[in-house]
Parts: sequence; structure tokens; C-alpha cells
Amino acid sequence: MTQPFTSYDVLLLWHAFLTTFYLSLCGGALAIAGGTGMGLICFSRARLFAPLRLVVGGGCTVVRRIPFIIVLYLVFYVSGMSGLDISAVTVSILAIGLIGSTYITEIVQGGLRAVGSDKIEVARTMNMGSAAILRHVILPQSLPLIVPPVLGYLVLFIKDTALASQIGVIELNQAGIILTNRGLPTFHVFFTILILYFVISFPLTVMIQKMEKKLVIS
Amino acid sequence: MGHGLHYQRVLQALPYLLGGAGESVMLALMAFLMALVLGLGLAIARMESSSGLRPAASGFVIFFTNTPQLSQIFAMFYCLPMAGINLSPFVSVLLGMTLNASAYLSNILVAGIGQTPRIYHEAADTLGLNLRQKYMRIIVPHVLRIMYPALNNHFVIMLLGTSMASIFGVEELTGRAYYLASVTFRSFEVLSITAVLYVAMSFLASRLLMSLRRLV
Amino acid sequence: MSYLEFRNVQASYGTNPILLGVDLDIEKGEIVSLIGPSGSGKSTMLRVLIGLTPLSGGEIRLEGKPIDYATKAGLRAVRSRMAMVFQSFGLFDHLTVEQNLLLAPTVVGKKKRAPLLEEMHEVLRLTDMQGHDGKRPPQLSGGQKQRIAIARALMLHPEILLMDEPTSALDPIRIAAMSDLFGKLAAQGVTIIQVSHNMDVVRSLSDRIVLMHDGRIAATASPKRDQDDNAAIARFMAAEAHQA
Repeated sequence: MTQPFTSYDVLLLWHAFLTTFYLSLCGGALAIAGGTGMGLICFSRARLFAPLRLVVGGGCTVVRRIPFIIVLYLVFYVSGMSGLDISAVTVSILAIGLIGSTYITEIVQGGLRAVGSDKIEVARTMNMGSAAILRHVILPQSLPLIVPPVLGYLVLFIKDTALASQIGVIELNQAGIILTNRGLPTFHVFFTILILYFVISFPLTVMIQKMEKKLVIS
Repeated sequence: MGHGLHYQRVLQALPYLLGGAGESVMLALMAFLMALVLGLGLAIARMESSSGLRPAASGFVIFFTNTPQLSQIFAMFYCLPMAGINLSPFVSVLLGMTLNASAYLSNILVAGIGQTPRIYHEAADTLGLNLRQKYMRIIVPHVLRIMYPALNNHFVIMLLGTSMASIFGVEELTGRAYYLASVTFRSFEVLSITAVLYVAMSFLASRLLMSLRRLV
Repeated sequence: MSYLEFRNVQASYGTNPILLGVDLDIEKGEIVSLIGPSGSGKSTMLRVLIGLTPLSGGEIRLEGKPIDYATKAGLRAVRSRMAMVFQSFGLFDHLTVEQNLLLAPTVVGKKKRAPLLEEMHEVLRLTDMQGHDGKRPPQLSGGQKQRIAIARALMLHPEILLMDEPTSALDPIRIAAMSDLFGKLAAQGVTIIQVSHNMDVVRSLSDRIVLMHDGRIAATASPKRDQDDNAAIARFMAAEAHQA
């Protein structure tokens, strides 16, 4: 196979690859942080959090039903209208973090709830405090239920970053379009792009499968 | 034009947007049904080691679930005309979504087949059903029942996913929203109403599907 | 030559040997009960016979011909002559009772539904399950499911009926009725091989009792001819009856 890419093209691809990686990493981290926080709020029974629970719970159900591309545009326009001067990359990360955290909230909350109330009651009779119950009773049992699906969603977020191309971020998909428009052979360009996505995504997929296998055995 | 929000003009165009929503539902429904058939074939090929198609089916699923749907469709969109195949944007996206979703649906179906009690296989075998009869009469109906919530969930994901068809010029809900935004200069208003329409659409879809559950 | 002959039959589950060489001759129309402690290989005897667990050694002969479990055609041929009632029933929850009963006759036997209905109602009457044909298995009690599992097997007109604990979920009156039914089937020439823990049923119904232990036959007895002549079997049955 002839090498169709010039060194400039390779550099473009490399930067695009890094951008995709950066978007995935930051968006994913934001989603995990937000999702864990909101999941804990939804799980807690504290009276103080009651109104917050309602807002977070309702917000998540609604936001999860808006397509990512619309969320992306909304964040883009809202930040523009409110006069915030943030880059398209930041907008993309915020949008991924926002959508992602609504999914992760659900998983975290579900995982925490999956621990039987009888076990929590046993811990209460042993005079354990809320924090100790969370740390020693709930988390050890719920983390195995939470971590694999959260990683599963991270794989999805990696693929969502491709939509950032729509607000002008030069990530992998956009690089593919640029190179194609410049007249490079389409098949080679997109084959390369898909492989590069695969390189980021596949190791994570394998890791999840290994974790799930381990869980089934134990 | 001021910075206040002006919804009136956008609301006048609501029928136009609703027409786009109909197109979105149509796209999602067609892609889902075709993907379900294809996904079923993939799932059985992956589960029955005797098929010989196992590595090909697994490879297909690994590839399509580890690369973005958007880039997959772009690749198709650019490459198919070079092979002399000219498809309309709608058909291109439909095809792309079908292939992509079939990989995800096959994962759901494989999980369901894995959860089918072994006694079902044994009873079907001793009753004399052949492989095709066993799957069509016993395994698939059972899997569709136990995996119904997951399939329902994926349909909603696909319904929301149709929004990227706009990038290829399909005039579904998001495509019409862009057009409306460009002629009214009211991007935020248009987008927020579009968001509400998607939320309503997906709620309705999952409600409707849940109420159809007893038919399965 | 006997009707059904087990010759040095061996089977294993994974690397665990379950049957270590079983020899057994069964005559047509005979009722054979397999008893023994759990893990002794009783259920595996039924499973190898109908081709669910592969033989790892030896062979089984039906009317003098070795059964071919290795090919699809051979497996289909042997299964078409047998029916199995599973310990966990194996009813399909998504199908109604009627659909469970008619599945194999229509799909495998390619028969029309309408003429089968009369036969189905007769089988449901025999198992005292008439009127339940529109229900789904989850709506039935354990005993009802068991009788439907028996009814489904009867719809296949088996020459050999294999039953794993076929009366485990039934009350004493139903057990008596089912035993009566099995006796009539045997009189018509159906060979019945059952695994059972119910020693009353085993004693009253069996032409032959086979005690299994650690994958081998430990003893056999023919209670109808000579009352519990074998000391090992008498001991095992007394202990089981005591537990029950």
C-alpha cells in the first residue's frame, strides 16, 4: 500500500488523535465526578437534600433524553449568550460531562440501592454510622455493580466526541473530513480514522470484559 | 434584535418541526427493526460455535462498537459513491445506523441467550426441535421477553441518535431545527424547543413500548 | 438380547467421572426405578440415554443396534422414540400449556393443530389438568407444572418414557393417580425409566429397582417377584422412607 499521507497530514492526524483522547479523558472525568456526586445525593435519605434530590433526579431523566448534538449546541449558544469566552474544546467537554453525568448518576444510584436494606439494618444494629456503613457495607458490594457499566459508558463517550466536529473542534472525525476534502483517498483516510478511534476504545472494552468475567466467577 | 427570548416565531413553525420529528421516528423505527433481524443473526452466529461464522460476527461487533457511528457513516457516505453506489442521505444514514445498531443489539441478544435456562435447550432438544426451530420457537421469544427493557432502552438511544442524520442533510427534527435557526436567527429558542420535543418523543416512545410489552 | 442394553456405559461431567461403567438390561414394557444417594449417577443415566450427556465409553443398544449419538440423524432417530420429564419440568414460560403440549407434534411432527386438540384434551384429562390449556406455566403450582410436563411427554407417544422425579411435587392422591397411569402405559408396552426418591412409588410401581452408588449399579431387585430380596436395596429404601 502506498503511503498517501504527507508529514503535515500525519501531524494533523496526530493532533486530532490527541484532541479526541483529551476530550474523552476530560469529559469522562467530569461525567464521573458529576455522576458520583449526583448519585450520592439521590441515594442519600437526608431531609436536607430532599429538594435537591428532586431537581437532580428530574434533571437527569430529562437531560438524558436530549440528543448529544442538541446538548452540545445548547451549551455552545448558552455560553456564547452569557458572554463566557470559552473554547469549542471546553464546550465539548462540558457537554460530554453534562450528558455523561446524567447516565452515571443513574448507575451509581442503582448500584448503591442494590445493597439489601437488611444488610444496612444489620450494620445499624452494630452501631455503625452512615459514613462507616457507606464505606464498609455499601461500597464493597456496590462498586462491582457500578464500575463496569460506568466504563461501558466511557466507551460511548469516546464515540460521542466525534460530534464535537460539528462545533469546529478538529478531532479525529473532523480531521478525516478535512483530509478527504483536500483530495486524499477517502477509503484510506477513514480507515485510518476508524482505526485510531479503535485504538482508544478497544483497550477499555477489553478491560470491561475482563472485569465482568471476574465478577461472574467471584 | 435584542437579547431577550422570543419564542413566538419559533412556535409558529412547530408543525414544520413536528414533521421532522415524524421523520426521526421513521428513521429510528426502520433502522431498529432491520438491526434487530441482523443483530439476531449475529448473536446466533456468535453463540453457536458450529456456525463457522463466529470470528467474522465477533469481529464485526467489535469493530462497530469501538468506533463512532458518525465516522462509520462518513466513511460509507464518502466511499460508497466511489464504488458506484449512490444512495440518498436518508438511505445512507439508515444503512449506517442499522449496521451500527445491529452490533449493539447483538450484544444484548447474546446476553439474553446466555441467560436462557439450560433446561430450555435440553427440553427443546429432547422434544426433537432442530436448531432453527429451537431458536425461532423457544430461545428468541424468551430472549425478546427478558431483554425487552434493554431493547426498549436501545430504541430510545437510536431515536435520539437519529439527530446526527442532520449532518448528512436528512431533514429530520434536528435538520429542520438548524434550518429554522438559520432563517429566524433564534438559535437558542429553536434548540430549546427541539430539546423539549426530543424529551417528549422519547418519553412517549418508551411508554408506548412498555405498554406493548405484554404482546411479546 | 434385551430391548434396551447398557454396556459398560461411562460418562463424565467436565473432568468429573459420573458413570463408571454401567451394565443394565431393560425389557420392553418394563418399569425400572433408579434409586440411590444424590450424585450417584441416576439422572445421568437418563441424560446419556436421551443424548444430553455424551458417553465417554461403552455403548447403549436399542433392539440390538448400538444407538448412534454422534450424528444429528442418529440423535434425531433415538429422540423420536423417547420422551423425558425433567426434574425442573423444563416448561417454556412464554408458551401457554396448549402451546407447550403441541409444540413438538406440530413443529417436529408436522401435524395439524386441529386434529391434535382432541388428543391434547385426553392427555390433560389423564393428568387431571383439563381446563388449564390457556394458562402459562408461571400461573401454575409446582404440582400442576409437573403434571403438564408429564402430559407434554405423553403427547410424543414415546416408546421409552424417561422421568426424573416425576412425582416430587405431587400430593399422595395425585401420586396414586399418576402411578396408575404409568402402570397402564407400561401395560401398553411403554418402557418407563424413572429416578425417584419416593420409596412407596418405587416399591409399588417398579418391575425392577436399581440402586446406584458412585457411578455404578450397587444392586438390583424385582419387588413384584421377590419382595425386596436384596439387603442393600432394602436398607437404602428403609433409610429413605425414614427420612421422608
